[in-house]
Amino acid sequence: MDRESIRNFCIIAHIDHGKSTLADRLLELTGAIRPRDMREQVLDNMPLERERGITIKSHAITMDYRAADGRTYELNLIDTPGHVDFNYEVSRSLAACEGALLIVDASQGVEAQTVSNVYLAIESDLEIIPVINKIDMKAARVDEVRAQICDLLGDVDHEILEVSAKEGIGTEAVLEAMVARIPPPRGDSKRPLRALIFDSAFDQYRGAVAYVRVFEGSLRAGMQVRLHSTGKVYEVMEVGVFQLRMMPRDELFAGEVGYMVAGIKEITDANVGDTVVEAADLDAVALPGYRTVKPMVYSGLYPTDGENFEILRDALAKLRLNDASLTYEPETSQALGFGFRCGFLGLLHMEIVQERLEREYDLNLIATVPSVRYKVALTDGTAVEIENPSSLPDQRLVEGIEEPCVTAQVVTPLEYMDSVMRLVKERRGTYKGSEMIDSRRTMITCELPLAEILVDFHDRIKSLSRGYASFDYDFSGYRAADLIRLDILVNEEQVDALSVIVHRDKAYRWGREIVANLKELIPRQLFQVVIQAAIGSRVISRETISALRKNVTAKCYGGDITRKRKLLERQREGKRRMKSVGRVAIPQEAFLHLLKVDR
Amino acid sequence: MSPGVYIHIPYCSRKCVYCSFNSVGAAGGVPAAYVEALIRDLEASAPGWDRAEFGSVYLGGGTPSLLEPEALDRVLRQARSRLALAADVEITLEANPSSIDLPKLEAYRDIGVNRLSVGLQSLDQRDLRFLGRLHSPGRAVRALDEARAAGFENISADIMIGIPGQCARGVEATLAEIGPRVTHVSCYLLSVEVGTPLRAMVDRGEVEEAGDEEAVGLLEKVALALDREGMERYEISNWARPGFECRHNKVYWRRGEYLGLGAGASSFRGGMRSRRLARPDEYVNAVLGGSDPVSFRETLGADAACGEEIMLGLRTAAGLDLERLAEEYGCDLTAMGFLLESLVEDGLIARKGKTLQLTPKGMLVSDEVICNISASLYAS
Repeated sequence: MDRESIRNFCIIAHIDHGKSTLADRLLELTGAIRPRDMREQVLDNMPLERERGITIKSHAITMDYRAADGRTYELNLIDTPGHVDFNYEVSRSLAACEGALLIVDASQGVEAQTVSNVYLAIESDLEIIPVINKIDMKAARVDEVRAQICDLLGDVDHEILEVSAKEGIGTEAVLEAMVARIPPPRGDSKRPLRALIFDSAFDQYRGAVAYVRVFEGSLRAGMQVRLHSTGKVYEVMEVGVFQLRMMPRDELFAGEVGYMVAGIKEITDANVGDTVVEAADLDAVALPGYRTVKPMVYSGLYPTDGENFEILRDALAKLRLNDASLTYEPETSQALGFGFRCGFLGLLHMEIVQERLEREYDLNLIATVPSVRYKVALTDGTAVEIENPSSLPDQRLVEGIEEPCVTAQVVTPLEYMDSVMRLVKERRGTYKGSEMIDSRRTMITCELPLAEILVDFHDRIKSLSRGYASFDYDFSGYRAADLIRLDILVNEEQVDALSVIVHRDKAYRWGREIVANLKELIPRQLFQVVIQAAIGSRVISRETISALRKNVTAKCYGGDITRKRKLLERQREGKRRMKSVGRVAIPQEAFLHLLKVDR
Repeated sequence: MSPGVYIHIPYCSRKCVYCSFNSVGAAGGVPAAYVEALIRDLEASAPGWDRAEFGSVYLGGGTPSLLEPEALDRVLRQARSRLALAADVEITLEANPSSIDLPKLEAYRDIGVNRLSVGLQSLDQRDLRFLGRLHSPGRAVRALDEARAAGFENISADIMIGIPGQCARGVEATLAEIGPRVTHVSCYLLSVEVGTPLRAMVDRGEVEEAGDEEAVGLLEKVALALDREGMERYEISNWARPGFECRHNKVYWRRGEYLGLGAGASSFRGGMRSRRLARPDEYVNAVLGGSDPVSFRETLGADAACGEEIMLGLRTAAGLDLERLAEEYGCDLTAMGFLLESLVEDGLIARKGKTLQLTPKGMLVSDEVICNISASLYAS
């Protein structure tokens, strides 16, 4: 295909603004799929994606479009994951494009995620085509939303398209606008190869399949290539483009988007953002923007039934095949048994992984309170990084702790601004500024410790604004904070799964709550149980559960031993499922309940 | 050990608020068809026991004393003719103070009943009214005296602890009255069972359950008073003067065999436990219609049998015979040293030679102790 006829684009939108529906219409219009093959939202092909209305993995698809000018264009849609956790992946997908369709819901208007996506698109120097979707809805406020978009992008009023993807209104105009406004890719097929890996997928027969955008040179079967970040060399076995399934081609030229099969065994070797170069070209310069993806959020995952540990191990290994950003290593908790400390890109990523493990692998899991990776400076001048609170060294050996922080944008109707600010303050946030989005809504920018938004921050934002405020964040760096480790002890034994790292000011409340909860959740035992919350050796909260005094079946009436024995067997099973800390048997529900405690 | 016979009489003049046992109201006494069914059941069951000599017959309920002496006589005659009863067989009848008088007691005595278990529960008027019992305190004491006058030398009284509103003085007075009049006391803790009117009253907030501490305090008073009276606690809920332990109940605790007759009655024979149809009408129809009245059977595996041995053995003062447990079930409780040590340390169990016994404190929490031992056994 003539390079002048190629358009590489992506669609960016806040959640539920209609990205997938518009994509479906474009696929239909261009005949990339016939309507009878159409499933709702073809691109979101994981059940979880369709349910949540978000895209978890990137996808790509090529459409041939015969435009009004009589020429046929190749439109490469690179679908991006729709969540902040995957910001880096989004940025790499954007880097593979020249243009972006920015979709804004006609009744919802510009949201926090719209703003952060626009920033990313501008950074990647993309031609942005603003599209107001759902104009057929009763609540549509097209003029207001037009004004909001102009506030965001400048004087673009005449460039804004109005569509209803659901009803197919205005969608043809979207295709025409792409052809007319998005520049064709630049790049010279004669120059040495440089191709960007913007995503990858695992195929059990062919290994990791790299999704690539060729910037310079060309890529064809039989070539020896090298992945710039790892230095590993592979022979290309197949290249091709994305139709509804992968279609082999002889060669991918500069400007084109497609896939490469090269016998890459592990998905972790096909890193998103990496550059494919010719093996012999030792001076090749990588494309800009690559970075290794590090998990931001950690949590211990334990099977509720210890016998399912191996199933969990296999399940994590399988998820990891397709998800290079998931990390896991075995971990043992005295209270919870054998499990894995898992690293995630963010909260949504964590939820999705947990949900997939439970749903697709039929596992019941206990997840520990999510934590972050702390940088700990020790008094001996060395430093360590920890992601499990129970591995924080003794307080006396700690010089200082730094925690990861995020810059967050909250878009909220004005009447909820005070409540949002209170929440931000409660979560140790600092206000950076605010900006009106329109006459009724403002965008607050603030900095927050990542750890403070891990548990129910998003839910709180939603509930205090009756669902109207939206929230997005990006990692901003490490900051020092007065953090301590709070331990929970049961009869003098530390319950490792309940240790948390918290800000000193919050330790008392947190400790009191956990201890009070435990008092309710631990059944009476044959001996007195003392529950304590402690910072180092200092106890800050204490409760006592007195010993069980009476639990006796009066008689085995009329010799009905069976009934009595079965009752005992049921109790015994219940006891066996409890987790023991020292001699104290703690029901699993206690952990499940505690790990849900709101900070 | 000699097997026993249990005969269930599932009828009461009126059901007590706390009762979850298998019994139905019967204004007109025990139906003739039920007596007929017991007689036929005995006949049909006897062949399975032809080599056994029974040491006890126990008539439990319900209210067995609703059974007229003539009817009971027919049942006992049938038992004697179909089964081999030992010369010194213990024949117990559970009786309610309100359904007995001297002539009736003399008649029972004449047909061979030699042990009376009187369900008097309390001699405190308030307790009795609360429990919905039909007798007055005076009637209860008279019943004990009449039993003695009728020639009963082995008399047991049931008392109940943990009745909402029960007071220490009432319990002490009850014990002072009954202690000298009986040879045996069964003391049960009231438990609020699902499906009883009492449960509903508690759920509605009309009645507050007795606190654990109160109940435990009263139970300790009972133990002390009965000890002074010269009785020995030979099982969690049972005290007896020397030589007056209930032979029949010991069969249960020592996993002896027994034949249970009547609606819902349980049997244990040849490693198999079974239970007859619980509803009196269904039981009667089955037996009189010539079909099998047994509705549940299970053959115990080694694990279940061992679990029972622990559960039952620990209820008795004699305790659990560790050596026998190891020999018969290959189950070595001494291997779980840590748990046993802590239980000993907490004063809940005591080890005497080859046996393991619950202490009085341990008896109060026996279910929990047994569950702990059994759970750690299962885990290892």
